[in-house]
Order: sequence, then C-alpha cells, then structure tokens
Amino acid sequence: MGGDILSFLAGTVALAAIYAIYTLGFNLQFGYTDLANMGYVAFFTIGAYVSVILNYSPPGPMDAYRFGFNLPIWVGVIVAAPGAALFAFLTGLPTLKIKAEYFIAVTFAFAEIVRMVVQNETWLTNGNFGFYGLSRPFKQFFSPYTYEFFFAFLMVGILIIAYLIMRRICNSPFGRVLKGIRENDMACQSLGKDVFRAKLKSYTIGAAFAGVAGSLYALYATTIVPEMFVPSVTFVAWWAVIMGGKGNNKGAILGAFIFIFVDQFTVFTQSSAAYATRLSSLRGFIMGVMLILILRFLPRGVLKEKKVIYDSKI
Amino acid sequence: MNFSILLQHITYGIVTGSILLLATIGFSMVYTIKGFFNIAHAELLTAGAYLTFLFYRIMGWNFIYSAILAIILTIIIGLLIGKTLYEPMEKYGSLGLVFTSIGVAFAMNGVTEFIAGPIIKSYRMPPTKTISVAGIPLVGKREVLIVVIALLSSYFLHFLLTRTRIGKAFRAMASNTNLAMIRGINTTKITNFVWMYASAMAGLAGIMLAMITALTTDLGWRQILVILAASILGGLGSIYGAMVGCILLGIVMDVGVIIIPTAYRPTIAFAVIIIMLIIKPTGIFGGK
Repeated sequence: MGGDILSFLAGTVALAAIYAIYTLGFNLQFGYTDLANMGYVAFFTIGAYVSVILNYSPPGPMDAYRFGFNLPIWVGVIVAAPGAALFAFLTGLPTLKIKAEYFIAVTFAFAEIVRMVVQNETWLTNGNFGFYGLSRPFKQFFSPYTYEFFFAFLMVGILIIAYLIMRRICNSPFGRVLKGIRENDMACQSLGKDVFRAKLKSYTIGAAFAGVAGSLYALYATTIVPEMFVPSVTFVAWWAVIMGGKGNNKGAILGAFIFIFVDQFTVFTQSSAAYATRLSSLRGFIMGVMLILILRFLPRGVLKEKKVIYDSKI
Repeated sequence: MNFSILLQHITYGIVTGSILLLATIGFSMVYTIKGFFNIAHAELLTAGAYLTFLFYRIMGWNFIYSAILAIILTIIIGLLIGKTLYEPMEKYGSLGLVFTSIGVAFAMNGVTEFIAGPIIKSYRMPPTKTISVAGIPLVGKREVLIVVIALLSSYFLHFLLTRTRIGKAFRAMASNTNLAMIRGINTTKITNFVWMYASAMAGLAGIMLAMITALTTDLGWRQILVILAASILGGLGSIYGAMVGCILLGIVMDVGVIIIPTAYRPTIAFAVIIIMLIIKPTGIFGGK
C-alpha cells in the first residue's frame, strides 16, 4: 500500500509538471500580455496529436488513420512546439487586433473547431477511437515500478528547463514590452513599440509551450482520444494562473501543482466505483468555487507579481 | 423531393432558432446591462430542465405545474447568483466577471452532475402526430408549441420594453447606466429584473430543449457557444438583433447540414462567431 501511494504520488508530480509547462505558456499570453485566450486547449491538442502522429507506427490495412511516421519520441516532442505555434500564428494574425472580450469568444470558437476536426477527421486522428498504447521514453531501462519515478523526474527536469527559458523571455526587453502592453498599449505604441507584433510573438511562444506540454501529456497518458481535449482543459490553465498569481511564473507553476493535487486527491480518495462519477462531478464544483473565491478575495493570486522598478539609465 | 427536404430543414431550423431565442434573450440582456459574457447562463438551461424532470418524472406531477415551479426556482437561483457572486465582482471589470461566470458554470455543472448522475434521462413524453403541409411531413405539435411560445415571449418582451416603465428604464440603463441613475431610475431594481427575466427565459429554453432531445448534464454547456454566436450575429447588446440572429442561426445550422457533414453542425455557429467578430463585430444590423 505504501508503495502504491508513492507511485501514485510520482504520477501526480509528473502530471502536475506537465500542466505547469502548459500553464507557463498561458501565463505569458494572459499573465504578461493580457490576452484572454479561452481556446488555449487547442495548442495542447495540436501538440499532442502532432507528436503522436510522428511517433505512431504506420497504419495497417485495417486502420482508419493514414499517417504514422514511426519517428523517435523526442522528434515528436520537439516538432510539437512549432506545430502548435504555427496554428497560433495563423489564428493570431486576424484575431489579435480585435477587442479583448471578442477575443475570448473567437478563441473559444477556434478551439471548438479544432476539437471537431480532431473528432471527425478519422484519416488524420483516428477519430473517437484515438491512438492508444503509445511508447514512453527510456522505458526499456527501468522496471515498471521504478519507471514511474524516473518519468516524474524527467518531467520535472523538462519543467525546470521550460521555467528557465520562460524566465529569460520574461526578463528580456521583449518581456518588458509585453508588460507595457498589458498596462497601457497606447503608451507602448507611442514609444515606438510594435504592439501587434509583440502580441503575436507572445501568443505564438505561449502556444509552443502548450504544444510541448501536449506532447508530454500524450507520453504520460499513453492514449489520446478527443475527449481528453475538451474546453475544461483551458479552464485548468485559467484556474492555475489566477490561483497562482497573474504575471508570476512561479505562481503559474504553483497554481498548476495545486490544481493537479486537488484534482488527483479526489481520484485517490474514491472508495467505490459507484461513487466515482459522483465524486468526479464534485471536483468541478470544488474547482469552480475555489476560482470564484480567489477572484473575489485574492484577485492577484497566491503569489503576487513582483513589482519591478527598472533603472532608467539602461 | 429536394424541395420538401429543404422545407423540412428550414422548419427544424425555425424550431432550433425558437429555443435558441429563449436562451439568448437572457444572455443578451445581461450583456446589455452588465457588459460581460455570462458563460454560466447556459447552466440555467440545465437547471430548468432538470428541475422539471425532478417534479414531473420523479414526483409525478402535472407537466405544466412542474415546468412553472422549475422556472420559478431557476429565477431564484439566477437572482441569487447574480446578487451574491456577480455584483460584488463588478469593481474588477468585465474580465473578472467572465472568469467568475466560468467558475459558476463549473460549480453549477458539478452540482447538477452530483445530484442527477451521469445517466442520460428523458421526459418520456407521449409521441405526437406529425403535422403535414401539402403532403410534406413537417413538425410535431410539440415543436409548434415551442415556436408559438417563443413568438409569444418575444412579443411579450417587446411589449415590456416599449410599453412599461420597467422596460423603458431598462432601455435607458442599457444606453447609459450612469445617466439613468442620475435621472432617478432605480438601477438596482432594473438589474434584479434582468437577472430574473434572463433566468426565467433560460429555464424555459432548457425545458424545451429537453422536451425535444434528452436530458444530459451538458445540455446547457453545449449551447453556450451557439448562444454566443446568435447574440453576436444579431449584434451584441441589441435585444431585437439577438432575436433575429437566433432564428437566422437556427435555420443556417439546420439547412447547413444538407451540405456539410452532420457532425460539423455546431461548427457553423463557431464559424459565425469568428467571421462576425473579425469582420463585423457590430452584427448584421449594427451600424457604426
């Protein structure tokens, strides 16, 4: 039983690390640039599917899907980033100029279209059947039990790399421009900054993080089906950023960990199958209430954004 | 032959549009007064549908009484949520309100699912005879009833907006809240009226949707983007525009399935959102 809890914990840490990478990208879009993206899950979906299609074995005569390239796992994980980013670039071009609240509606609609396509274009995504039995990296070197721990360490390692990259981006002059846009885009424009271009960059880079997270999620779950990419996955990113603290990368990671731990705790405490669905519906209730309370009483999140005063001489 | 299929699809579209109309009026009214997309509005549809199920199927009451009681309860739920959860958030601006409404949607959906369970339910109403026009079978009596109720309630709203004090005050508040307040209009009263009216219409829409389809816990959630699309098509913040937008979207969605695969039916609504907001965010009738 003790070992059970430990391996469950390792799985939870791995999942939380993946969602933390996912949330980091969202924090760049929403926390730093104020792009209220309601369709963030679309990038996650695209990342997952791109990596799996690259990695999956070629279709046999009985299979409905047409593409499977049998490439190494790392190729999929790396290509997932530009794959998601390309979609962000193409959708960002027409949508980033419109009003903030319209942007919410448009991105929501885009994500639903992506989900519809994934569900129905069987030749590409194998439809509702999805892809299953996906291979996991370095599996052959470990026993199934120790592999869970290795996988958790691997995910946390990737999260640390992602965090360092994101910190570099946010502390760069480009990151300062993004903050400037968030605070006052008119003023930013008058200083000669290309606001639209910066927004597009932020949107695209954030999407790349979601794409990588999606490909890692496919490795974690070893199965992908369209139901895994419903709009409530966007809600995870929203929830984590608002909970952790808008515009604070550490807060985004903390928020994702809180979400996954609360979420997985309700899975682990399930006593019987009869209550499983009931408890899982309470999960939505708990998350919803927590979001409402945070917005109301702690609108800047658990970890507030640090106030930075830039030296005017540089 | 082809003509009769087209006619059938148009008729379905009008039925779809009528339900959508009831669902969208409230959404549009809240947007007009409060200026935010109330994502949780669709959950009121689910609430109304399930409360009716509770009284009608489980307690075995008369359907009409069950529906009326369910609508009254939906009004109370909507008003309470508006007063306790949305109004204190107004100081954080419309984005804060949208996020709160997402939280409310999740919480409400969780409660519904917790109480009702995930199994698909149905009112199990007796089948009605199909009405044929010139030999083409078109709709059942229930669908006709839905269209009639939608027409009556739109006319009622029109009457309310143009002929009554509260309607005039609503329009005043819609065009300029502060000015309305200065002129001595009781904006709190109008806001309460909006929460109540919006919830009542949502509850009614939910019951009707459940009457012609089945009860699932995501009954409302699946409608939210369509509601959004309809209100955008008619012009955000315009009640009359929303009415036309709903019928139009209903027809376009149901006629569209002749050309595109049925699985992509909701995509028409999403495409409407994207295209309208990028090209003409003021809606098809909106001016500058």
